Amino acid sequence: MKDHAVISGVGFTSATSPRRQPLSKDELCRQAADLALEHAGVKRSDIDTVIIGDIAGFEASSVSALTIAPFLGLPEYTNIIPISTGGTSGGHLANQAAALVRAGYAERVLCIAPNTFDGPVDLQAVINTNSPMIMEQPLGMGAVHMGAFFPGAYQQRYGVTDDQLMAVGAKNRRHADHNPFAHITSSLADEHAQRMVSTPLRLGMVCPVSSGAIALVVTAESLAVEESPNPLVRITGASSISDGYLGGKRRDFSKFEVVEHLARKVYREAGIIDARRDLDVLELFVPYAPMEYLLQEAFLICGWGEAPGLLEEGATSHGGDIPTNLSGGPLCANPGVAGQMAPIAHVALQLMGQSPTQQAEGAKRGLAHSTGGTFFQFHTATIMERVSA
Amino acid sequence: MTATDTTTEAALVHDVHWKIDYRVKLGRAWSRFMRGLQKQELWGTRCESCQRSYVPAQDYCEACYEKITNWVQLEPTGTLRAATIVYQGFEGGPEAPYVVGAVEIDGTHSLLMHFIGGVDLSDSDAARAVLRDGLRVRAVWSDERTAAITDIKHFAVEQA
Ligand SMILES: [Zn+2]
Repeated sequence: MKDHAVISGVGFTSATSPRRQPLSKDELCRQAADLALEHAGVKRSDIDTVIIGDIAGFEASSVSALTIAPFLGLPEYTNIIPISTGGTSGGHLANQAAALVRAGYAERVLCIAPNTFDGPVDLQAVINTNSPMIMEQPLGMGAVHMGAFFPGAYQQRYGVTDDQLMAVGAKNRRHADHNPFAHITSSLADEHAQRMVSTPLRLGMVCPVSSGAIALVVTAESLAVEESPNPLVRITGASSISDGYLGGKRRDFSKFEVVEHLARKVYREAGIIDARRDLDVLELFVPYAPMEYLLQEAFLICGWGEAPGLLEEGATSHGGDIPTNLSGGPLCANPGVAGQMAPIAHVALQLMGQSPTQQAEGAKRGLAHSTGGTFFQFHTATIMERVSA
Repeated sequence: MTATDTTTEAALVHDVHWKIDYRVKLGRAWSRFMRGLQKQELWGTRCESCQRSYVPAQDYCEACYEKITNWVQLEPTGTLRAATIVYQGFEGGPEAPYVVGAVEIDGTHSLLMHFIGGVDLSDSDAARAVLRDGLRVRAVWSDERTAAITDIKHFAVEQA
């Protein structure tokens, strides 16, 4: 390995409802990029590679990465890399930037996570087209309906109540009250929250559609140590995994089986031995509240079926030993690819000691996750560690 | 790190509509599977080397990557493993409420996704209590069949 990769700058635009968003995609991305460059203390001309996330087929555009790139004011020899892996595009941006830096191919990479869900008039209808055509697309499922299979099976296996599922939504919205970039907070009215969408998922367990963009600067550590004004946050583990394409390949909906494999792979790379002890903060991509339990278990934070107990004892709230989604997560802002990269951005700021949300005091190591695809086919994981004293 | 826009004039939004038709090839294995459904027959495949079985049928094994030539006709009955009652559907989808489930066809290891019918959805809690792991179901064939997954109308709760 030639060098380590560190996250040296983070830029968020506020997340809002698509109806209230006055800016175009290009304007939002430029704003996020400016903020990230400023935070990293580097100039546009320092950037050698830009990686831009995309979700093929979700918007009224084709390869939007290529239309965004010219608006970023980068030098003419900048490498442009579009990444389009659906719901994990955002997670892959920083992971790929780290791979390029470690390989010696790039020194300073700008990662752009655009807003990607705020165009479609009916997002579930668009997501249905992403369902396996021929075999499953005719069966009336959008993302929320696919997302409902897992908590239903989980409830049945472990005797978890609807209230325990809703408790994740309530906890994350309380966290979001302290996140200036969140779109939904604890002000969500209970009568809305209780409306059944697709059993057992109620509206208060389902993410909103948001508009906003996020950018990161990923830098070779040998340069960042000289130029970065921020504590260095090294990417110590970065990996991804895929399940089968058809929903029926999941077999056991009470767990994310492939995430356990991903966890073991990325923990080995990052030297994590006991996940609950060694990690200080988690940002998990939880567009449907109960997924937080399934993901905590698959990431080996606790045993199977034990995650609701962690929430009840306060371990996963601010002040607990394994605070999860201090940003509120996608339940409080889900601006597409930006929502997928948000976990990495929030963990990085926590480890810098600069969280715009409630700070996990002294946090040194964190895990960020993203997921997407039909029935959550794809997952990414990123382990970060503060290496500055 | 953050910035807000103070523009007071409302930003314009234009409607964009795409209407695009595609033709998708099913390939040999799925064509044969769908032609079976048209004849009210459910076919799967079984790997000779590891004995895993596949419904919908496929002509290679995902576990050992061996080619599969062993087709087996299956009774269109199975066990529900997971399901959701959809109360909020989407534009162009079926009219809610409806049920989608994952069915383990008897004698196979994989799950087949499909509609689950014949359950009274007027009482949500009662319907959820019925739609549990272990529920026995049987395919109900559509009257008009076009060699498509919807040649099965739905899986209905099997009467004891
Ligand atoms: Zn095999």
